[in-house]
Amino acid sequence: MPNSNNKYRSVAFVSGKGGVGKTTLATNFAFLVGTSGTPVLVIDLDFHNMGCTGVFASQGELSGANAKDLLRLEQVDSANPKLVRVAPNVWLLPASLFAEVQHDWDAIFDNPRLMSARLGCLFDYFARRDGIGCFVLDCHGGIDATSIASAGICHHTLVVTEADTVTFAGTLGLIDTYYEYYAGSDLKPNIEYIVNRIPPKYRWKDLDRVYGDYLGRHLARFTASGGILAYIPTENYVADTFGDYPFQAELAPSALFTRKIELMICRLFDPASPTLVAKKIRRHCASPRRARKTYRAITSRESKNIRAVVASYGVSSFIFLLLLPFSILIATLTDGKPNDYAGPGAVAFWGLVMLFYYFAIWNSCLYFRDRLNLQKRLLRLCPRMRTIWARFALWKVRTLYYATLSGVVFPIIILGVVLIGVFAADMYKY
Amino acid sequence: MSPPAESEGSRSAVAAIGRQGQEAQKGLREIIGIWKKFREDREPSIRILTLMATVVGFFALLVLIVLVIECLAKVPFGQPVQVEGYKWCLMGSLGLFFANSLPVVIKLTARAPALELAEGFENIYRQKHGSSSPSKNAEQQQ
Repeated sequence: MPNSNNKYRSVAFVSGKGGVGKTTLATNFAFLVGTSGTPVLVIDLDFHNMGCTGVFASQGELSGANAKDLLRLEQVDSANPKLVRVAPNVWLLPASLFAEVQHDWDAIFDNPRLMSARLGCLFDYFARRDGIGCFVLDCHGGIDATSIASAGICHHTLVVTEADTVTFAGTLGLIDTYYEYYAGSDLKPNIEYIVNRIPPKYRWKDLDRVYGDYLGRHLARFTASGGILAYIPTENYVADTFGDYPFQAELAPSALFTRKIELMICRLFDPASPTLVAKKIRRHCASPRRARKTYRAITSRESKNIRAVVASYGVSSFIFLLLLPFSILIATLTDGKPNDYAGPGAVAFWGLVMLFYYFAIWNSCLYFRDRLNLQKRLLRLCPRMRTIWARFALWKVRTLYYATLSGVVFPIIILGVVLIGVFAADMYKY
Repeated sequence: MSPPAESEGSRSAVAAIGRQGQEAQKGLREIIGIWKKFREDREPSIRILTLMATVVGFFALLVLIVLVIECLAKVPFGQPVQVEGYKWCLMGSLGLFFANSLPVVIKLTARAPALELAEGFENIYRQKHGSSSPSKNAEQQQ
């Protein structure tokens, strides 16, 4: 174990390539750990791009200390650094000030060993002073000293990758660097993998086999679980709200993305540090069957709904197209006179068409319900989003939701009334 | 007795036979290659078996339903039970079956996207480490 201090836990999000979603994962991870009541500190160690700093800077002024300055100090105590509170129980240490010149570079930022030691001092200091129970490090996307140092000092190093060959090459490069750097060292990084933004075309079984072969086994020396910690699917709402609001887990608490991060927290912390897992999260992951189902799910609810809508309309249109020439054929054969086949045949075909249309409307309704809830939460949580256009968009989604809801409810009511009517007529007759 | 001198014609004939043999070997290797791929990735065969089982099961069910309806029609409840329109219901269910099996057939004929991913990973892994993936290495060692 790289860091034997049990008073707090530290998690680093690293990757061999930029733009794989480390910042989104790190902020949401910190937010969900923070719901347990334990103070969490997010440290932005991406001095080049400052992803985390940028996300929170867009929400308001980031006054206080920054990681770049603190890592230069041998003694942090004298600086008495001030942290920025970004959510209940979540604090931020930005990478550096935006005004600072980016190429202001010290030797420490190229020295992983020294940086590991300084990071360890920072952890101890903030754990002692502010009672921080969990440190979340958002590292640079690529191989640099911060990524190497974080792997050596943190309890868990989460390598974020994507289901494509370009990112895979970067991930292999990063892992090879870890091999070389920590080959003769006492420190053994505890690495886990996250496959992020999986397109809906993949199936979990296929992906797990491919990644189990190339990452799980090859890198088993560094991996505690010997497998992939999480498979996270592409979710449109995460991309839509990136930069608008930092905590997507708060915007869509029941989405698969949130469930996946909850499961990650349970897998990482539950046995060793149960205080870091909120009761709600523990409840969600309590059932092994449910946890397994969440782990294996790689298609978001939104993707499923969209697919179902398209497929239902496609199939119903196909049946409708079949129905037309068939009806014409029967009408031609019987000279348009009523026949024994027209009645039941028409009922069967139209019933099928209506069934598929109903299924499409049902899924559309679910889709618009999720979208409406997301938009409502976004407007409630993010005051600067409350523009006239955002309100107009909300009303548009609301109208579509109620329209599709009425499409779901009315056929049931009409069917019920017709059935009662037929039943009543029969009763009256006899 | 000295062997007859090799004429131009006999040389070209030997070469032609050699080419044919090489082509046959190549063809055989390709067939073995397909089998190897099939063995490596059992998923498509499982899917084909599932589809076949579904088709057989559906037709078995269909025959069963027809038999039950025919039997019902012959039961002497005073007068034979009139079962009307069941043929239409059966046709409807057949349509539904095709509508359901269509996506499965499309999936079967399409290449699994994860295979392309695995090939890409294999190429990168080989170029970086100069060998196949860990599991293939283990297989080769065995």
